[in-house]
Amino acid sequence: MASDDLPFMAGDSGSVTPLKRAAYSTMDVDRDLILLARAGDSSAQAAIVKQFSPMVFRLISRFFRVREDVEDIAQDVFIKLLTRFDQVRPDDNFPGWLARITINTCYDELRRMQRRRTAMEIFGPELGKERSVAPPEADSFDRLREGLQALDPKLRIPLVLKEVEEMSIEEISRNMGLTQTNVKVRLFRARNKLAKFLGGNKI
Amino acid sequence: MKRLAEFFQHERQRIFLPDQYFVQRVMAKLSQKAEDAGVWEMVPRPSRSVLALAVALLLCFLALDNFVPVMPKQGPVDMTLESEQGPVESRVLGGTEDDGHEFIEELIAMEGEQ
Repeated sequence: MASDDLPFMAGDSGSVTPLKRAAYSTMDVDRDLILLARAGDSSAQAAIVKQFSPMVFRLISRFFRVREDVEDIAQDVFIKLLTRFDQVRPDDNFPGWLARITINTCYDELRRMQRRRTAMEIFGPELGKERSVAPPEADSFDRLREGLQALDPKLRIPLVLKEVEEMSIEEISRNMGLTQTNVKVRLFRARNKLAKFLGGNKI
Repeated sequence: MKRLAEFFQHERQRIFLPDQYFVQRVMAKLSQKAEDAGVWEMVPRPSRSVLALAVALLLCFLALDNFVPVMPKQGPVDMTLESEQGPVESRVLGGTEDDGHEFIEELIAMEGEQ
């Protein structure tokens, strides 16, 4: 598949580029490519990685602020995908399936980071050392960013998907394997907690 | 509220993109993983539970076969004596209480042959 056909355009490494999100259900997927990749064709697998890596990077960037972390998690996502390709059904919504793997992997990593933070609070800095520390950013959103990062991953993920990734409630529920009511409750709690953290009223 | 909307808008702009060698790195990691993988990794995930059950049953059978003692048909004394027995003695010792006249005639015939 030519790079012009890609739903997202890859740019320079480490660049911070705004891209318009395409709905995962409407992304163009080559069914034959998936069949070939499923059969173990490495060039088809590489083509799939090339086609979908901007989408995966984009989703992971919503939760992690260090490029190396984003790259590591993206690699994990694709390794999971390629080792479980036998579970992929070519007629199913492949980008949606990949988005679900990506969000689950991010959730696992955020939970791990949260446990490390808790360990740090209990046992000291040596045991709870963070994998990497995001560089300070030259903007005035430090307090908001801190508030967002302090949220429990199960509240933070739906909030970020809704507000930043602009997913619908239905898309979030599908990607996180939750009911729509559950997503709404989590969004409500996330907004309340963020407001409480910021010392203000309900957002 | 406006501040939060600005923050989310700012967050929307922050996207990392893969570099040109990302695909090669993933494929290299995948082939490395395939080299490191054992037999278990080669089995398709859906059939692993069936295979695990089959292997477990096979191991149980082998364990029973090897470790549970089997009652021998004859002891060491019988085995030694059997090698020294002639056909007539074997017939007499292996015979039953119900053997009658025919049996005796058979024995006499065997004695005659010897």
